[in-house]
Amino acid sequence: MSSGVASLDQLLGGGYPDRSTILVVGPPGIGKQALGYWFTHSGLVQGDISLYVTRFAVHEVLQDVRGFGIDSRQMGPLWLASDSREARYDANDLASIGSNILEILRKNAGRRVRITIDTLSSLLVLNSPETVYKFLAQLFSEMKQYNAVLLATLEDGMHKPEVLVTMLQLFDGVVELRMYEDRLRLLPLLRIAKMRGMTPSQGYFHISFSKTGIEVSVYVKELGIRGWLRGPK
Amino acid sequence: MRSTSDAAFYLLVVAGFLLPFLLLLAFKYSLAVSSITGALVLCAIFSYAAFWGFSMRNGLAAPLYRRHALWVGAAGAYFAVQWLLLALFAPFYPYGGTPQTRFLIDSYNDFGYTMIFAWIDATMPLVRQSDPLLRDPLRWERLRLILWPLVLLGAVGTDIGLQSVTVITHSEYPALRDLLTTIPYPVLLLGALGLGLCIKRSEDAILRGHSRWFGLAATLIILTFLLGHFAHALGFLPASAALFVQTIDYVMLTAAGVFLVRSAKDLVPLSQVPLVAVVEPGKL
Repeated sequence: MSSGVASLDQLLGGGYPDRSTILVVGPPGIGKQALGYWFTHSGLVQGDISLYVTRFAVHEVLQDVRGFGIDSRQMGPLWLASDSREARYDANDLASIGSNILEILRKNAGRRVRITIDTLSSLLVLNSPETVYKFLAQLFSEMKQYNAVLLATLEDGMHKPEVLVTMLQLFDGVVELRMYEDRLRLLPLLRIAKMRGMTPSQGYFHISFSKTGIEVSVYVKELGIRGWLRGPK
Repeated sequence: MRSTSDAAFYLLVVAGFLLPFLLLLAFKYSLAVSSITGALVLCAIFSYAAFWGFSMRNGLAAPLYRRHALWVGAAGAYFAVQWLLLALFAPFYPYGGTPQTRFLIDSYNDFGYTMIFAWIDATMPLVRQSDPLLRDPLRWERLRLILWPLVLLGAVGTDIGLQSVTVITHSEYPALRDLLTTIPYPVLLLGALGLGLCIKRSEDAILRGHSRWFGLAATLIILTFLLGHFAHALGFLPASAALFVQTIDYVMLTAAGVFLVRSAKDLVPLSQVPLVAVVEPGKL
């Protein structure tokens, strides 16, 4: 299933694997959400059912979406938000979140469904991590019956390392975003930490965001004085 | 010490910090030369903070974070220009110079309140996002609409407004001037209080660390303002203590500069590019 970013699809060999769960992990502000927006947007363009699960109000998400150059008028997924009409999001009620997601999957059985979740970090803060692990494990196993891909974002820096490690284990694929310091330059780099059906790679890719979309390109670091003068490619 | 650039920075700060004292004590240069050197050292430290603030802005993707990083960079640039102006003008115009230069320098100084308030205003929505319950302290979204005009009135109104009236009518308005210059202090205090409350509710350790460094830098800068303000206003410091006050100021401002650099670099955790990326670059 296309990620909505052509160069990332190329890197993944066509997109995210079918019936998979993907975790995008990285520090706040680096652009994890943008991957979620493009994933949702791509689904809407291709006629898939898209569900966006958020702890924010719908207008707050749409405002953020516009900041990444996506036309918010084209961003009309099904919402599970704090103020949505279809179904209300309540971070303290994991059971209702799960049942709402599964209800949408049941109603659209046979169609391709994309689910984007930006609430994982707040769920982990408001509930015990064990409760969230159980909730996710159950949701993922039930989801496998449907033709759906779930993409969730997780904030780095808000959770204990052991929580982060467990979360990485739960998902089929992990896309890692990090900010790297190379001499006096800052580089946002992307790494596919794991992906079902792909051999693990240690390659780092430069990710850049613009009003026209996201670009993932090869990152090569040159050592020595020449590298200093030229900078990273 | 997290990177070679950090190590080099701290070494340069120590060397730069000692330079004015060496010039004064070892080479018997005048106090004016040492003051200029000190101001230039501060200018360099704050410029470095501005560099990292703007670099962060370029590296980050989320609009809220980019806006926040922009204000961190702007705060660094503002203070860098302030020390540069000090290096250029203070030794030649020790008592404020001509009314025109005094007007310009005062206007520039008063803009500092606006800078710190803009940082508070840009930080608030970020910190709110990292509160799992998304609480809005002091109803900031509405309160800011009242506070912004007050800050601008204090910063811009005092100099551009009141001084223009003074020049035209040839009359002094000390009471009104005192009132206007005092307005930004309670507003900043209220902003700091709201931000403190918000930070307490935040679950983001990175943002808390960044805010702590920026808060320390702002506190030290405000303390140096107050120290100079009250020392002269109350006249409790003899003229012979001027060097002592200047030294305390210099120490506090150097520390503030270092804290501001730390704050800019801690906005997002930075990693070093692992060697594996060098030997096995990604293929597309």
